[in-house]
Amino acid sequence: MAATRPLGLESALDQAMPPHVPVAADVWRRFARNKLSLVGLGLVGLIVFCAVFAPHLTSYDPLAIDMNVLGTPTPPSAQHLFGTDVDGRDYFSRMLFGARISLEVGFSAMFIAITFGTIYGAIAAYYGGWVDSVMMRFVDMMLSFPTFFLILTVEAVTNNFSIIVIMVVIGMLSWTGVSRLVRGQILSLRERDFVTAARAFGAEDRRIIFRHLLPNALAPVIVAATLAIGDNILTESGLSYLGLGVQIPTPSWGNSLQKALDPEVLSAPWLLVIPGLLIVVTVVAFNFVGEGLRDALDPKTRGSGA
Amino acid sequence: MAAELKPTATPSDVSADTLVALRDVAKYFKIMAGVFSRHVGDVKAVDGVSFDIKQGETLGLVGESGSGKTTVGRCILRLVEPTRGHIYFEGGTVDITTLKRPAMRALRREMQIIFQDPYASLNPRMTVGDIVAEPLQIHKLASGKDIDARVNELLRTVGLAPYHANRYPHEFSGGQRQRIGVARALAVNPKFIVADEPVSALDVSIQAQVVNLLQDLQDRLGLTYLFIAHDLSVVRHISDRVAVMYVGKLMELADRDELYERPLHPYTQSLLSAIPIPDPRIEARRERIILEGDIPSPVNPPSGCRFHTRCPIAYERCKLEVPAFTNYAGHWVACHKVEELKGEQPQIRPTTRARVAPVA
Repeated sequence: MAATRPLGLESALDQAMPPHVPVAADVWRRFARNKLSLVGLGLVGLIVFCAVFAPHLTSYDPLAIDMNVLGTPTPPSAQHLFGTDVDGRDYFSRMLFGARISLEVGFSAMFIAITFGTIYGAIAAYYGGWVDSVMMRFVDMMLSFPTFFLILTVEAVTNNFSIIVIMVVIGMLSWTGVSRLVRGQILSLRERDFVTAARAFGAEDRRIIFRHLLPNALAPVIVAATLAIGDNILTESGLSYLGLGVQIPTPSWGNSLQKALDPEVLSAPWLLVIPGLLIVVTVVAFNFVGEGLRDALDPKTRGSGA
Repeated sequence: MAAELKPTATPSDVSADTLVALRDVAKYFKIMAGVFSRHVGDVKAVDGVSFDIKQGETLGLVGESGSGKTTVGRCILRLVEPTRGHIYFEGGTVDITTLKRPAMRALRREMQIIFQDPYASLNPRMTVGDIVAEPLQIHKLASGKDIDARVNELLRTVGLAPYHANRYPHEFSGGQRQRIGVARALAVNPKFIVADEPVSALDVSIQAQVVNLLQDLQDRLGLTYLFIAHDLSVVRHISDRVAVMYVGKLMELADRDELYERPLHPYTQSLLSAIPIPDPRIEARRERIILEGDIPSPVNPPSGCRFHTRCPIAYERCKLEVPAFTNYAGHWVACHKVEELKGEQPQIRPTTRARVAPVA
């Protein structure tokens, strides 16, 4: 090509350029505007920290039974921060390790659901036509089952209560919402000019889906993912509470709740209140973060507000 | 002299200096209704269009919203598949409409598109550098460091700076974004560019910059443009020849000056009479042909000549018979009245259909 000189009436360089603001900084600034989401993020951080460093935060083995207090729960004390349960195990330690279970299930099931749901929805929307019809009718069918009871049934049938199975079952039964969300996004995105431009210079389907469509559909998926973690934790707790989730003696917030409802133990309210509060606080914290992300990632509000 | 383009023309009537030739191109969008998606009708967006675009020229394509001009551009690039007709490239050597996928992919290096909306045409999640580099990667025109060098060169070509490559589209103004779109289109060194209303969305002060950029690029790179627009002044400025579309059909096609100074088709005459004149004394006294009614629906286009429902000089034949797109010494027009007058300009007087309204 010949020597490059600026063309047109005058160079576009002459026009003022707003200061360069990295996208991440902009998102953080708008996320931080909402105080509740900051509180949520702090709580999530604390819970994740406790779960990751659980063995370092307590000297008690969550499975170890103190024969001295077996059968009679002891109330919270300096020695046992959250007291002991009816089996003579340190309740603080059980709650810490229970957080691990909850987060593991919450995150893993979320990843399964998001990955599958995103790809499923993207394919349905991108190819459209009868592919879309068939795929979305299947989603409708899945949605017509009450998810929780479907999970109960699957759990009861497989009769396998390992954490992996719980993760997979929750994940594979909660992707439908994500697939609808992604489908809607892609349907509107695929008609946009930048996608037409990509087709005009011969981009293959895979490139269009993964470089042009999905990155632009991701914001609501991230929000949905955050909210899904809270939901999954709730589902896992419910399953464990019903005895179809994490099995005793492995500690989980849900099965601790169930144990606390034992008539013999009703005299020890902390056994009930502590896991209940933990579940509520965790789920609410994830919801706050999700709400904050929803506002921060909305492209319509980008760059607005000082 | 009156030679008709045959609907099923073969490439033999495409001369060697023609870059793009359309022969009876049509695009019907199906209308589906009901639970089982029954085919209940067609939107006849383009309905039998034939014209040539010469090597190195700018062909302006004007028409109202919904006249099908954008669809014509997209058919040429096969972004929509034409329902019927043929599109030839490079003097008739290639029939675009019959190309298989790999051949079509290769041909996409030769033809590019610039869009109307500079906000929708750039991926908001990609940096400008990535946007301009993508065509290079897809066609493996450069690799590694060469890509950066080529991207910088392209950005400079359109009047941007290399440091802009790391920024995102939302940081740019409309005119700058349009320049990014032009740089992306140029990345593959195309011969032919469909400019789909490239300045309609821009401020008037920026429009001139982008139009001049396109003209400079044409001079330097020998580009051929199909310039789609509804702004008749911009089209007059940039085009060598101008085609006028109405409800999916071509009404008139002629050299720019010929068309603007001696419009034959009543529709073209009414369009041109709508251009404001930047002199208040003339503007106050000039007479305009004001059409009544709206542009008809392309689902149910009028019989015969599509313009007969609004034409001030229509007569019985216009309702019954579709006028042939006829060549009068290089001035193509589809009008029975012009045919009767053997290529002379029909005079339009005030009738019940059209008022000649002095503008206050």
